[in-house]
Amino acid sequence: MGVRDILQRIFTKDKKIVLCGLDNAGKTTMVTFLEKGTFVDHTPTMGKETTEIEVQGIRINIADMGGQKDFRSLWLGEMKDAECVIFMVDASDSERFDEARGELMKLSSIIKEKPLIVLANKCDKGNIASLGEIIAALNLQKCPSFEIFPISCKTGAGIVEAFMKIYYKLTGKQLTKKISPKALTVFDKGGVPLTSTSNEDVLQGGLFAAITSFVRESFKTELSQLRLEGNIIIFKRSRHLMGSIVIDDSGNVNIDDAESGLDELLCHLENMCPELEKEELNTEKIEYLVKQYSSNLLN
Amino acid sequence: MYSERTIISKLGGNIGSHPIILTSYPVKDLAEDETKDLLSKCLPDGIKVGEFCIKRYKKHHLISYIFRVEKQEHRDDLFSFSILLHKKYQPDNYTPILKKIIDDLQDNGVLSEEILKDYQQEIYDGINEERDIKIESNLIELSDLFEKVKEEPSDEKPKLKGSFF
Repeated sequence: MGVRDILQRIFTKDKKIVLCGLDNAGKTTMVTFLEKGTFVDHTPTMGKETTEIEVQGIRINIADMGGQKDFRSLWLGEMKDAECVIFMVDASDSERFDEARGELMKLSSIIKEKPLIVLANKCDKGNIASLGEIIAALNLQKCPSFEIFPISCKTGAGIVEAFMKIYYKLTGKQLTKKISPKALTVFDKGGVPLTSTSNEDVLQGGLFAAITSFVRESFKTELSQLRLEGNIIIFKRSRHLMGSIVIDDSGNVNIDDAESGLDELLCHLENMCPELEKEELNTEKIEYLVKQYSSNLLN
Repeated sequence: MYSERTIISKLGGNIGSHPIILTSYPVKDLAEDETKDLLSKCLPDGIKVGEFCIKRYKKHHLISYIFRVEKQEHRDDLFSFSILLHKKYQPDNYTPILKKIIDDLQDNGVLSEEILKDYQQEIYDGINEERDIKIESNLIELSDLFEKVKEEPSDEKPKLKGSFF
């Protein structure tokens, strides 16, 4: 360990959160999504898994608690020195809401004192309970303070928003996003646009045409950036797809961060679309995945 | 090599599962206390797929390899395959053998709870006789691996440290 590492550890503060909820709620999947930026299928958690992540100078220890009945007695003890409690519930499994409420009630002595964040996972599935239904079923209105977020640890939808709230509860500081893209476009490997999403009308007019033509031209060149109309457009290729991201050319944006953000999106799409290996392209699925994932990137 | 016992433990991926010792060979009937003790060592807290775990159990090393068994109907099950090895052996030498058995079953598409139960005697005998194992039509070649890891059991008494004696 070098001096820089030692100093970094001294000036990095430790915070602990406990992640609990019934078995198969998706707790470990969320931790992995935060680490890897994509969905990874898991086996059940044996007892407890601890993961340390560092976000903007704050070291966060996540105690990911096994959800099986045999391990639930461990939850309360683990929470004593935690700054925040996260309770995850499978929003698509209303038959287990009573069981979840029972377990949550056992934590009442702790959640009176500590912030409670409820994550309604699997919101990508059809036939899920609304947040209102979950609040009622879990009797959350009786909790002194809680916040609830719909998320999907499969598609990534809502994860950043929920984590920003958790970060705020831990530190009292707003977590700032490294990049704030104006638009995202995904192309097939031939340069044909498959889906585009933006928070402004930046893709109106000539910009979208310019992006598309540049993507095709970029086959012949090594160029991966284009400056146009006060915007920087960054291009990236993965095995079967291409992507572009539009960011403001204000000089405050770190191009490397934008590139790695786009890279993560493309990796996520490759991971979620194994059919691409067989040269099969499901445009609707890609469109859906980009929309879900981009909720984390676009404001 | 002499393994006194092979043990297979499981935490199912299905809703409402419990960690259990699925099967133990040749000792099949385990007392409740022994089951509890073994289970906490075969599938300890926080253990993950692909990891090895070496614990002391009475006069033995308990060596476990953690793996997943794929399921279509729900998320994958978490398994451990463990052997009880006399403490005079160096446990690290035997972890590749455990991994080889499980990985070969996986690669041949026959890794399942039923196969592990049905062939536990064959696996146990193969390990103790340091020979290849035949499971269904698949030959798991262990003899070469045993040659590589062969070691003389150490009868050397540990040297006493300190100035008391």
